Amino acid sequence: MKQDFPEITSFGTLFAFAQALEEGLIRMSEEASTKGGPKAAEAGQAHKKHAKRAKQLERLRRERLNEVVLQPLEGMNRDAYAPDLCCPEDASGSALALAKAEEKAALFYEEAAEKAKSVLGGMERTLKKLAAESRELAASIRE
Amino acid sequence: MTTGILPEVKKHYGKTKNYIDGEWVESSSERTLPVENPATGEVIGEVPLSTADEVDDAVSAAQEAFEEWRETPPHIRVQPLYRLKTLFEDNYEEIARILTQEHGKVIDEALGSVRRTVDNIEFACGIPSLLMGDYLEDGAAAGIDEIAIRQPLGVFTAIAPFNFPAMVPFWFWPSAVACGNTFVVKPSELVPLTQQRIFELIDEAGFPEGVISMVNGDRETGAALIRHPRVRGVSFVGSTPVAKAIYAEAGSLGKRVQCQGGAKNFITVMPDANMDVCLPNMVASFFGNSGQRCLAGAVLVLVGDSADAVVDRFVTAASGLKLGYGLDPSVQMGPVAGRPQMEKILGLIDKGEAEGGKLLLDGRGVKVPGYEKGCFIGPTVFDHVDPESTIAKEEIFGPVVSIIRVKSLSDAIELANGSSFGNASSIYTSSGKSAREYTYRVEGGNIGVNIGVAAPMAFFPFGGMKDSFFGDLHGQGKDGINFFTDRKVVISRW
Repeated sequence: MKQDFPEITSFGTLFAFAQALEEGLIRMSEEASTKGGPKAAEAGQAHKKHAKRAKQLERLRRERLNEVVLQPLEGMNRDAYAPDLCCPEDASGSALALAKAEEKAALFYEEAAEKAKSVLGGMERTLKKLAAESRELAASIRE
Repeated sequence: MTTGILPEVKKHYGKTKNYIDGEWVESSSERTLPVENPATGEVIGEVPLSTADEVDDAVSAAQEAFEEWRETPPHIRVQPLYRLKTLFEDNYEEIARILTQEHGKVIDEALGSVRRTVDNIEFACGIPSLLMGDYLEDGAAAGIDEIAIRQPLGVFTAIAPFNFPAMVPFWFWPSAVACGNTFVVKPSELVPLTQQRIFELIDEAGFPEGVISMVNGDRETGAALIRHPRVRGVSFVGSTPVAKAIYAEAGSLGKRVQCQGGAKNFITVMPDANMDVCLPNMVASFFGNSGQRCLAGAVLVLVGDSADAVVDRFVTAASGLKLGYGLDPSVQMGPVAGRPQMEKILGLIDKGEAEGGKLLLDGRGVKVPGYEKGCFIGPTVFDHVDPESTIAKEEIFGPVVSIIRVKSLSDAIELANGSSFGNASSIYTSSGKSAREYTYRVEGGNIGVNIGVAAPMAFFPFGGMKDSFFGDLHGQGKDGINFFTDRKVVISRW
């Protein structure tokens, strides 16, 4: 399924990108898990995590973005982080595509954490944790 | 979440109604104004300019509700506020989108201001603790105890500005109502639609009839509220001349008054500022909300020899801002809030040029494809501005920056303190000594250190100094509690 991603021009759009990413990964992981195959359980696990993460990000966006932290953001190119969220027909292809998408997500959260460091106090750790989680999910699917 | 423009909640919102005594009431006024979307130029609603009789209806209902409301225990009084907070969370995005549609600010700014609105509700929910008085056993003499209690006064009103359609009334009324007062809000006639939606939530939250009301209108409606004999206090946010006039009139009528006026905020950059970190924050200060914040930067004061480098980077960053309709999440700067505001800002840019300011970036005549009828002014930067010129002294309230170069921190402080305004000021520096000196000496109500928009949270007082504020107790925080209550001392012997 095609997923649109916003340009990342502010911390608001950074969160919007993250939410779009999680929504895409929710759909993709669900699809991958229903296709069966040896990695269906891992995909199911990813689905649960992304559902939780989407809620967490919505809450953080509401709670953390106020005037003090609204400012232009440069240096994050959406094309570098936007994964291909299409699931191939076969189970193993779907799992592999999911792993690749998780790796892109990890890259996004790692670089977002760097940007957040000096502006969104307290968010750096959360974003790094999301990055690590995506890396782990990708690794568990690729194993 | 998808890209592209977020949907408008409605194309047209119809004619706004007043909310009086827990009922939606159509105004009988023959005077109305259109409400325009400043990004598209489309008419999206109509606002009645309510009559003095309608003001009287609202105030009378508030007065009638007062006695029973003040006798309602504080922990019960805050229950509708808790419900309202939940309703805000459920309708958060929708309120922000209406706000962007009628005001023009970008969606992030709208969401941020809705968050600030909710912050004030949350603060007021703490009223059972905040309202506690003082007690001293044997305070007056042996066996004679002394207590001080806080009591509500009656009906208060707030007259709100156009730049923050959701938030500003909430600096005042949640605390006032939680303290046991009743309240009448008058939204700005330029942006009444956000409050219309918010009052639907207030209705749903279940306040007793008359405790919180809303009357739409203009200056005449506001004057009727201020002059109403049952109104015990007035909170106002707007321009300095109006703030001063309201302060004088309401004060002469024996009312409590807090009036926030205009601003001309000086932003000082020291040579040791970490520009990599500070630059985006500075840009947001000057151009966020299209410069239509009372806390927005207006004069950029560059200290020392590094000014040229700062100017280059600042102008480059400003010229890269993406203008457009604020419902497009990638847009970084929206239109100004209406045609009259636009004309005023353009006139001051013309004047700045005529008075010899060197125009480095000219936002006049900017075109936003697809929004040719919008009120857009691009980022505008004047360099080498004469400190005595109009654009260095008068409030522009738009995306216009005046750069002044000085030799030392003392010169910068002297310059800031030379302004008749004293709302906000910021310093960007890596030196604690410079920051301390600046915060100690600058006459401003809100000071930022490496922060360009020093906006106090709901639990801190919000107000300026000099011609930016008239009154003594500011809005928000404990100042708000003091403003909305009277102190009574009781000395007892048994």
